[in-house]
Amino acid sequence: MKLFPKNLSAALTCMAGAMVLATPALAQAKQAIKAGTVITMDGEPIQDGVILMDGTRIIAVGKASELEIPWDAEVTDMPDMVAMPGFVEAHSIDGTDRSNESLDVVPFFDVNDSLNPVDFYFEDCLRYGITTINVQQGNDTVIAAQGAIVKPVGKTVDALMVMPQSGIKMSATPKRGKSRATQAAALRKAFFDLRMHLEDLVDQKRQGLDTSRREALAQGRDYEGEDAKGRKMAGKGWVVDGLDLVPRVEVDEKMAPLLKVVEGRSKVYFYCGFPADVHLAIETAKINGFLDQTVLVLGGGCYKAIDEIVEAKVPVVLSPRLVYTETDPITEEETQTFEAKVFLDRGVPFALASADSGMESLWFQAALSVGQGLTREQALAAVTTAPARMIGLEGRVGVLKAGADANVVLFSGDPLSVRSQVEHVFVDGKQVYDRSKDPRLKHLFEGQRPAGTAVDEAAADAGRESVEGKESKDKDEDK
Amino acid sequence: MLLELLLSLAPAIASGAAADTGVVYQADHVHVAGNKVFSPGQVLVRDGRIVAVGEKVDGGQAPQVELHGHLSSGLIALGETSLLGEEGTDTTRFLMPEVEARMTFDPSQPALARLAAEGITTVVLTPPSYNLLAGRGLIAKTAGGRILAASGPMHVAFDSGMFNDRPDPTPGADFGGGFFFFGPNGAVNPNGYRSSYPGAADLLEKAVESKDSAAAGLKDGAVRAWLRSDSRAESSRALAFAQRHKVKGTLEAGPRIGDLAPQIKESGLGIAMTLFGERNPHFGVQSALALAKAGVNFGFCLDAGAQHPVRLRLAAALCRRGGMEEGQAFDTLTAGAARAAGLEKQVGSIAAGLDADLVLWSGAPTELTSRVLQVWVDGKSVHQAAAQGAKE
Amino acid sequence: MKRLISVALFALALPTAWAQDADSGSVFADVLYTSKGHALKNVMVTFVDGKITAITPGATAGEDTPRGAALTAGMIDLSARVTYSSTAVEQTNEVEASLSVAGALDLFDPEWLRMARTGTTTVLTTPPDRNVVGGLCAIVKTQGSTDIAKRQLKGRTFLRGAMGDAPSSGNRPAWGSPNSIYNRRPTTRMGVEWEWRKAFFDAAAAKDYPELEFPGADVFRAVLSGNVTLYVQAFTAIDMRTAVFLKEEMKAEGFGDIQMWLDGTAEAWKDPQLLQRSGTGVVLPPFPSNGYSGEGSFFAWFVAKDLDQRGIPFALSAHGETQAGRTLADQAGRAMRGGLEFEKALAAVTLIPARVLGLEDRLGSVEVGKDADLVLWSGPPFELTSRVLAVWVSGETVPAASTTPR
Repeated sequence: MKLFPKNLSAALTCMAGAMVLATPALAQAKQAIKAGTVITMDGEPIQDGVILMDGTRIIAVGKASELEIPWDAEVTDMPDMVAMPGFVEAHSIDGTDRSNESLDVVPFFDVNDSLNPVDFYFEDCLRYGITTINVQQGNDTVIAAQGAIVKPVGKTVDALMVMPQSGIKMSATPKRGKSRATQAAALRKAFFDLRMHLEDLVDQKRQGLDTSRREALAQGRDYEGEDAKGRKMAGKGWVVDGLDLVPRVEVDEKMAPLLKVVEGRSKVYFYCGFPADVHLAIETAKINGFLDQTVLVLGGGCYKAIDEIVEAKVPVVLSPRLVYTETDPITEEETQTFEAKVFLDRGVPFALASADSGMESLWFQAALSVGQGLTREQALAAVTTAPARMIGLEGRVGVLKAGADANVVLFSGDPLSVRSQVEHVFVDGKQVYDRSKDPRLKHLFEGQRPAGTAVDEAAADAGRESVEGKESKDKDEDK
Repeated sequence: MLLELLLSLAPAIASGAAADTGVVYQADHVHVAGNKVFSPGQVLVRDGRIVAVGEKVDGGQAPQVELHGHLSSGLIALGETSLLGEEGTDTTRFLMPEVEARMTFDPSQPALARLAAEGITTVVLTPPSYNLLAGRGLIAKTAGGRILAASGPMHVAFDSGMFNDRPDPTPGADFGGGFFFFGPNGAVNPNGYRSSYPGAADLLEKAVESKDSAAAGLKDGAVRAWLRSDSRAESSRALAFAQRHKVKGTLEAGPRIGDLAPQIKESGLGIAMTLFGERNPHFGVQSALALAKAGVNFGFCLDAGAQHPVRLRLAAALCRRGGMEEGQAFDTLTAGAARAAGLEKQVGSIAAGLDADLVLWSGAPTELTSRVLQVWVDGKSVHQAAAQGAKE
Repeated sequence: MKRLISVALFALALPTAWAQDADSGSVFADVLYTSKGHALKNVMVTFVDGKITAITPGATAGEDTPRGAALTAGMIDLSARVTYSSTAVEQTNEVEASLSVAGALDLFDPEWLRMARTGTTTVLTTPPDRNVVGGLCAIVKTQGSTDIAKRQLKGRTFLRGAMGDAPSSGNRPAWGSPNSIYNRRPTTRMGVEWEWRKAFFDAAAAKDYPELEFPGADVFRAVLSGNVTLYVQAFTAIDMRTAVFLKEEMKAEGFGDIQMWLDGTAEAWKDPQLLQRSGTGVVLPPFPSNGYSGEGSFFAWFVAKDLDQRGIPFALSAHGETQAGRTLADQAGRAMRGGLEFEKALAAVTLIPARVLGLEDRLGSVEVGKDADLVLWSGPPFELTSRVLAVWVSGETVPAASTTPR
């Protein structure tokens, strides 16, 4: 049995319900965050702004002078801070126990089963202001598991979940042990197998055989609702006639997720490590009719395939190595290409990706991109609204406006300055992070070991006294 | 079979005729050196040496032989390492300035004949670079086995080969560079190997300054040196060493040596350049042009064990394609290479008094379409091509 | 915070007037940070023959003058680990003080140009720490002559060695396969420390007992007399202490007062009193993302700020890293993230390292008469959102990398 229904819209409804049910005590009914500056990512930043939240949603954002705060709202007033929507990671392979799978084609796998809610990665996400993460299987694959969009808060996989089965990972770059030719063949075969399977099912029905029905019953699949009925196959690439004869529940569980892809009901995150891989990814998506749902996850240098990407009209997640350095093989002269600019200039929607889970995460990538030539607005969009749109959560995450999830990050100053820190994080209306109470950050910033970790011998003598003595002094100075 | 027969007979005929009177070769084109060409021209050869060259020479009693094609002096390959073989060096001592490579040279090896068949008549053999001071090299003819200099140049390593390429007898040795016979207490190093550039340079300085070492001969050019380098950093260290001690000789260098052309000109060293890589001749060609412009004498190295001998002419052809004039490109194979190795008084051009090492080509020697028709070493015909298209 | 920094990016076309004179020119900046605590507005800096000749605040930029938002002195990395290959260190001796890493530098390495482009104009390079004492360091500019004799700013001034596990980690006890240099002492920190002390004692005693003389003993004596600075790698607190105790022991023995700087001291925060007591300065390693630095040491972000408040001299280093976001400028930014003020961060990559090198008369600040080592920035220096627009080394423009996609 699956934890979540296969149907996406049903899943969303179900999840929204589950969250409301699961968190009534955690989120204040009504809250207001007042901040010196509110960067909404939906129009100009607001000075002296206020964000009104009801439960897990934002109900209004505006100037404090123009927006009335309900009398019963709990107010968080941070006049020196800057509020932003939480950053959105469009594609991450962190947060699972191991990111790669040895089997080539596993669309029936689900990263749900691999997510580790207490992974340090999720803690780090909060420290650096990331509140939405699309977790996918690693790049060393042909057709990988179904990913999940999660928030970095919760002790169980259910609690993390924002959107289960958020899309399937595929790779156009050869999996270890494969060549470009065998990788392409493996991709083709996966869809060919699906087609053969569906045609078999139709043939059996036409011949009056009930093999698939018996198999479904033997496996204990439920003949309920829509799945109990046959449905004409949708698909822009190809269709199998007569699939309406086959109750959907009788489609092999191993094949069903790919059918969802071909029928346009699932996103695909297609990894292209090299420019040479882009063609295979786009061709596979075109032939099988899922180009509209495809996001390319690019390695360094893939801007070289820009023409094909522009023509295919697919959005891209950029390589974490923002500047691609290339040495001319003849003259050894170096060219440094800031790839985001190439995609920007050609009108391709792009998202930035974290380089690591610590310092060099999305804020860092956005700041560096400004240094390399993006405007601040463009760089911030590439870590908020652009990835939100890519993962199908436009208007819900990566933006502060009425109706969006109440994911708010408060920075001590300019979010792109090296001096600024994430001070507070709200996810679904609940304060989930407070820097002043973060023991691990104390460890990192002040050299203190968190309570309960291994005794630090060196800190046990003179060093420790001095550090602790100094700490109180620091606080005074920091105001 | 026919070819072998011709080869065995040809020297006998030639030497028989040239014993007293010599022979006048008349060719359509005689490439003397550089751009100087007589068309047609004559060369008088007697007792294995060139006596006269010109449009017309006075041969006295000498019979005249008509040759159809281009006649040039034999080509010179510098820095050949494979012909001395593994026994051309010793991997147990870092410093052995006193050894001589001629003791290990086999003049009858078939590889030499292959060089001769491509018009290469002189080869500068260098021992594999496993030592800081690898002793004296060898300069030999590719046919007849004659050794030009009793003791060739003294080899001094500036390249990393001296640290790395030694076989490591230690099972499971995890570092590439370790072939050091240390005693168990880590205190004894009887072979005196070094692991670093500064360490090797320090040892070299001491050897050159020591009266007991044969290396002292390098100072002030008493003994010609063959300085071996690869990267530009190594070459510039070698240059600094040469200038410090007024060393005379040849610097073997990699394809980017052109960046140091002015300093090389100042040092008076000749250059033996590593043959252009197949994949990227860009830097090699640029370097050749820079060296030529600076007036540096240079030729090319050939590794006969791994590279077809025609690669030598390919290098000159690439130089021409890169903009070098024909005479200069030709000199990189002949007169320039001879000057770079200090051999200009013996080989490298068609001039009175020099060895009669001659090659008859079907076309201009720097054209890759030209074939070798006949080769003479020390006046003796050592190779004659079978008529084109003929089968044995 | 909402001050949107408008960045004007100008093509840096060299005016023909000084194109012939490669090491002369001028540059205009909205703010000049001199490294001596001054921030001058609208400044024109002029340099002739590689030296700064005029600093004019309140000036107006000429049309052809390169201009940017900020100008600083060229940065100095005291631990630039370039040419860090095995051929740069003489491993046949555990203690090899007489050799200099200058003899192993590859000045043709494109890494120098990359480093210069990040705004790092001078570096101290050390031999790799594969033996206990690796030899003398070299001080060079990142651009200039490819002749090491001309490029080196100063010779015999720093002797490099290491505490910790780097010099011993590759070694093995002498059983099994004895035919390798790695079958040798030391294999522990104890052994490393012993080699240090033996070298100093032998060098000092050789004055009276010539049979104890060894190659490089004169360098140790120069260290003891304070003429050569001892520069010791020590990531962890324990290694820091070993180094300081060694210095104190030599003083107690009456051998001499060692001038010492420690390198890579991620754990300086654990025992700052020790550094204060002994007057030892430290060079901090690059800030890691997760706190862990070399040899398992823990590098807390507030270290720079803490050292500054305690008056312990320190400099920052990127270990020669040139990747965008991890350069020396970015290390200064990270130190600021840990609480260090901008002016202090600037000094830690300019003035202080210049002082350590004994080259304060030439480097480390923007003043008339000093070398024209300059960095022009698109915005506030050390912010990720700023970029290095142009760099001059001894007045010569560092050629920019092509940014046209190919």
